[in-house]
Amino acid sequence: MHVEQIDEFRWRIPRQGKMQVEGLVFASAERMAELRQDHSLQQVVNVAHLPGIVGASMAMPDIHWGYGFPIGGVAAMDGKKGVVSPGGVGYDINCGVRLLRSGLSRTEIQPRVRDLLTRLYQNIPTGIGKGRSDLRLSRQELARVLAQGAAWAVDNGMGYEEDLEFLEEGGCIQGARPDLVSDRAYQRGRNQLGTLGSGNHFAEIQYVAEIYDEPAAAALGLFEDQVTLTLHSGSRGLGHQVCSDHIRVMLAAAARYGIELPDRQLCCAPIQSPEGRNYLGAMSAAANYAFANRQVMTHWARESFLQALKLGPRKAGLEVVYDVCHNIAKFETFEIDGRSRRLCIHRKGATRAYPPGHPQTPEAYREVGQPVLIPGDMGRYSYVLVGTSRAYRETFGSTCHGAGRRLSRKQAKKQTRGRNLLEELERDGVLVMAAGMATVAEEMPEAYKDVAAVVDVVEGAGISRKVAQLKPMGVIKG
Amino acid sequence: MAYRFIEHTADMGVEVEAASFEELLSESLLALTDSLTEVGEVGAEVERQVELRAPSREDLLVDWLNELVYLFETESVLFRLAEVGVEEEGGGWLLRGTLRGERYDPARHRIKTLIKAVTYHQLQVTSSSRGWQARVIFDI
Repeated sequence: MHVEQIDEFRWRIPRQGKMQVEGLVFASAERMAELRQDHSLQQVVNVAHLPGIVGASMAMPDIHWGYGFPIGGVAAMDGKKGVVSPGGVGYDINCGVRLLRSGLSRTEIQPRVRDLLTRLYQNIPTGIGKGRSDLRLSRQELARVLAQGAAWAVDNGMGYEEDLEFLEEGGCIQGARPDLVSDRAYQRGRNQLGTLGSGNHFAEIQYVAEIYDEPAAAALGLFEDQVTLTLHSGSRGLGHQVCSDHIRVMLAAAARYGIELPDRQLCCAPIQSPEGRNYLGAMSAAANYAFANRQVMTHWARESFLQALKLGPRKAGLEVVYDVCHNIAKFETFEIDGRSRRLCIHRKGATRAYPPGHPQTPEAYREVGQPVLIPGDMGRYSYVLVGTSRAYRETFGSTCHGAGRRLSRKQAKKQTRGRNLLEELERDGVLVMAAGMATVAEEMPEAYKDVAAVVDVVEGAGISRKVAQLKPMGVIKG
Repeated sequence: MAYRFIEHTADMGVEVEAASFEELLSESLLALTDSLTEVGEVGAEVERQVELRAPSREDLLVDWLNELVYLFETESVLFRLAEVGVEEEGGGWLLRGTLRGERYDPARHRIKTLIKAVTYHQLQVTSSSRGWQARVIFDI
């Protein structure tokens, strides 16, 4: 494939054949050499074929081979003439990350990490299916969750009104249509609210290991050695079902609207068509379920801290730093060539990264920009970044979302044979509790690339700025 | 009949071979259950009837496996056997199947990998003189 280097971190794939726009990939030269060997650049090219795509088909430096869209892909579609694609969002709709800060320092909780982790593990269901028996929802109540998102949890005593200000979209995507979510999706979602799931999902107790930008960290309420907690989860079975239901509809729709698909998993329909509107309504409802899911788990994490540390809510009380979506398509407005345009931004394994001064950035962060939360693997570190005006101009306010896998799950399991991973991690200062050891093996640190390399590219390219590094102390997994 | 798991960095795929399309479906069921848990530990006392319609054989395979994901998630049943009949109907395909399995028992059924969904990515169903082959990728 013909790829041109633009600068140290930018690569262009020129238009060819029926590509509507060029491809733009953010990567180091070293990473680009690897990418040339796999299928992910072809996926960037495939996405560039979709009708109504604006600017470029983009990939963030954590790009890897997905299905249809590459993971790490960003595509902006014209709100009137463009298409919406369930493959551009993925099965785990609004899989995302929430960061909570405490008033505690690392040394204060060090002797209590095991108690704290045990409480978290008892309070937040992980792994297979079922949620807590004290949170069973009727269909009507679930419909309210789908319409209201995180606010539903707050209204039901799980969180504070002020939490909502610090969530992307305020924790609720407008225009959600619970009536367009299938019975099967309701069935799958009924007993899973407030559950972590499995795979790469986790809840992690961390401390602030390093600060790169003091004023920005202060604005985000972060200080060195401070204890934080990160939640990574999404819309669970409900979201998976919404995606499956609509991929099926879109396969037929794409043919009907005469859209040529280089890969069936890219199936899509015009945003303004009944199929497109129905998907956006149902997908937004699933996204709201994910916001509510992370809000419910936030509440239980707060309870866990109080129970384990026996401190007053003020000191132990966890405040929301921010909550970002990693898998989403939603309408956002951008100034392009002096004209305001409403675009449907697909972020598939990518994070919104709005600049300082943006009206959607919370007042408290207005001068530093929207927080961007980038989890790494469970042995090394994660990062807090902020968005920049260059990202706003160049990537529709988007940046990377994580480390990306280095080994397949099978390879990872093979490499852990005969090793005691839990002991190894504990020796390195990370306690792990998990529903299944297979997950721990698949998710071991060496299975992932070094997230620092990804973050250095987005900072080097000017589409995000590093604020702080977080290191894990305790992790719960599915 | 046979299946083997294939490598995909972030996810997991399976390649299946069988003498007929119906057996391909039964074998795919086994592969899916095997990726979830130790298939040898799954009994056969629970029975479910399934009826599915799809425009193509590929779509039918995806729907069939997604049905198993759905039944596991909503009814906690793991399956190990299926009697499947497939016929052409109105330009598409109709599947009628009887599934046998066992309710998930955390004490005996060690979970290997939970599957979110069965995808259309690189989906293939082909037939040759050697029988039927399929490739399908799971989102996990």
